[in-house]
Amino acid sequence: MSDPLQPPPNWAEEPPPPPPIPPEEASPEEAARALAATGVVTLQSATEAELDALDRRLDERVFRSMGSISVRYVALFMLAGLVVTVGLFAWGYQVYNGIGVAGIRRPVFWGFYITNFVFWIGISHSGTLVSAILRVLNVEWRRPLTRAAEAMTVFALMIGGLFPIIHLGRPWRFYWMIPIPNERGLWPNFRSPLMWDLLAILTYITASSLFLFFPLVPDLAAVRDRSTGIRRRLYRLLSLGWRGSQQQWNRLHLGMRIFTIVVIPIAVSVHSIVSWDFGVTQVEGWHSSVFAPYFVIGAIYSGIAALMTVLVLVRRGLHLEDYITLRHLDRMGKVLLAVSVIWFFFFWAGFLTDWYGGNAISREIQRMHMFGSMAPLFWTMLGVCMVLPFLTLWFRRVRTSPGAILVISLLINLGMWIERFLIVVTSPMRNAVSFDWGTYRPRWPEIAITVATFAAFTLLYLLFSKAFPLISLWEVKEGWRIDRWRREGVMEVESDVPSIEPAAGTATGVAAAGVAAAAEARS
Amino acid sequence: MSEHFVSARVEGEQGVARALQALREIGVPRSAVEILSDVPLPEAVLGGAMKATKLRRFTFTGLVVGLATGVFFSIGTLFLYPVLVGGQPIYFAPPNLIIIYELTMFGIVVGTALGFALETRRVKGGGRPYWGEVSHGGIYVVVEVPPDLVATRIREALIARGAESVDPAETLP
Repeated sequence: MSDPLQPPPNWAEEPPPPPPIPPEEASPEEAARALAATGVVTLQSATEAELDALDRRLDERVFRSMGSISVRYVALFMLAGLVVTVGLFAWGYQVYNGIGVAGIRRPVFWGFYITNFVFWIGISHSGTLVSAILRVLNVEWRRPLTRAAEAMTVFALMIGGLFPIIHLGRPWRFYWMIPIPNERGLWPNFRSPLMWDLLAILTYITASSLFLFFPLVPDLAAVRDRSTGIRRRLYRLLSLGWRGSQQQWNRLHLGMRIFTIVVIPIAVSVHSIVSWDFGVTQVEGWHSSVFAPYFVIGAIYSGIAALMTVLVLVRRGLHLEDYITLRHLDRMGKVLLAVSVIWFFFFWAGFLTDWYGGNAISREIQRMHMFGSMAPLFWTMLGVCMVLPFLTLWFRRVRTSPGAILVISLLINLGMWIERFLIVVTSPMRNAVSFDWGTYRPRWPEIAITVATFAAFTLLYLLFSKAFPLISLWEVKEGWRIDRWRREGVMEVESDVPSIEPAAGTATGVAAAGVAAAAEARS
Repeated sequence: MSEHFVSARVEGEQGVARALQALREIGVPRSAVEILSDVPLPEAVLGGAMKATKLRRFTFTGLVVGLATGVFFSIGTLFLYPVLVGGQPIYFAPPNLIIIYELTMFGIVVGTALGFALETRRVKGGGRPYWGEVSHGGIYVVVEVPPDLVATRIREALIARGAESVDPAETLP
């Protein structure tokens, strides 16, 4: 092998030229030497020493990205911090002067804040849900992506969960929503969708944070072992006494299986409940049974697009091109294309049903969307959420171009924000009493706070990237070995206690399958 | 510590398998052996001997507590502190099911997390041998010396199968 530090080709940008096929009569050692002569290290041919070299290279890349702070990083950090400060000032201004400084007026009482709430909860579906689905399906290429995705969920939920509190106008009264005995002698009304929101978001942010934290523990131990001083003490605390014993690994795998199964219905319920905030009202344009699946698929759509934006920026910014590869973008691009089609199906199902029903208010709302004051937004939304991905993501050249993916994913999220805005704002503009029709114009505090939340998301991600490994080190290393274990099997040790059934998809399960296959081949 | 533990460094999962085989041959029970590594190893190599975890019990307890809390909040408080809204009934199932569902899930999540944190910290906690080299890819075999064996014999058996003795052990940083 010419350079054992080179990553194997199935993680590389471009597939290597096909090596000469060794003669059939060659021994495995001769075949490996023949492949090595081409300069190619494959996972199939990599020895333990070569995998160790790959491990060291991965560690070095990731820990170097955590330790180094570039000028661009500092500049972006300061810019994001400045925008967040402006947003905090705007919120303070609103709290001091009252919610009247915002643009929400009769009949539109839900404006930018609720639009942002729905949007950010949608973005949160990128990480935990997508990661959980990929884990359940045992998709091997998920391994370098899951950490970045799961972190997105937590940050998006932190931001999304703020908006109902901002929208309250009097945020100090938020505790009225918490089910504790209080001076009013009342409990919250659990029949209210607002309580559903509170509990759903609380459950989801707890589950997502832990879903991020569980697989982070072994990597925190790795950081602990490379740190000194106060950092070492902090990581020692966070790594929960992790030693890497097989019992700890076993428990981690079991915990992740439980979480993976539980977190999918939680994620689906969260955006369903957000949609029911609208669906259970009698407002035309909102009162629709298709809203729950439409919101869920919209959330997944915007979430995957946001994840692709982050992946492109992270792989470039932290120089992780060897691990977050063009093949990952290619595959995520295919997923994005498929989800865009499903999203459009649900959009069309709702649109057609409303249009065919002929209800006067529904028709007026649709007229306003297509030909009225909202037409530029409506057609932009359809253009970037439906036409753009359909015309571009079919092509591999586009899917494997980081620049193109960055532009497309950003535009899709712009479109999804507009979609949320059209849903939230335009339906209340038109109701059964025509003299009560109105419009909505956002004021500067709403705009400042909206922009600040994007900066806050950036800020949180920048901080996270320096405090924690953005790639799950142990999962990637495990993935490199699974292929070899599956192919070769492993040296089996006789048990002196009843064995625990290994789970499919884990290293132990895969290796056990490899052992069985090897035994079958031998027989 | 070296009186109670014998530790050795091995190469790869094949080294683990050889070490475990050697320990088995001299009568060391599998429960007295710990393998430390930076990636999970195949169960076949480990002799299928991972101890059962109580994590599921924590998960189930969380489920029961979450369910009970959900029922109390969504149904119990309605009767304890009735809020009459426009002639609607005090109790009706669909919205309450949402509360019960979310709190049950919350209970499962918190129960599992508590179980993971408590068990990870508790299991043979401080003072157990550990090497920072584990997180750099090293694989270590730690043997708790059984009362009927001497440490020297265990060490010799491991070295004979290619392991490298690393006594005295370090501990968690």
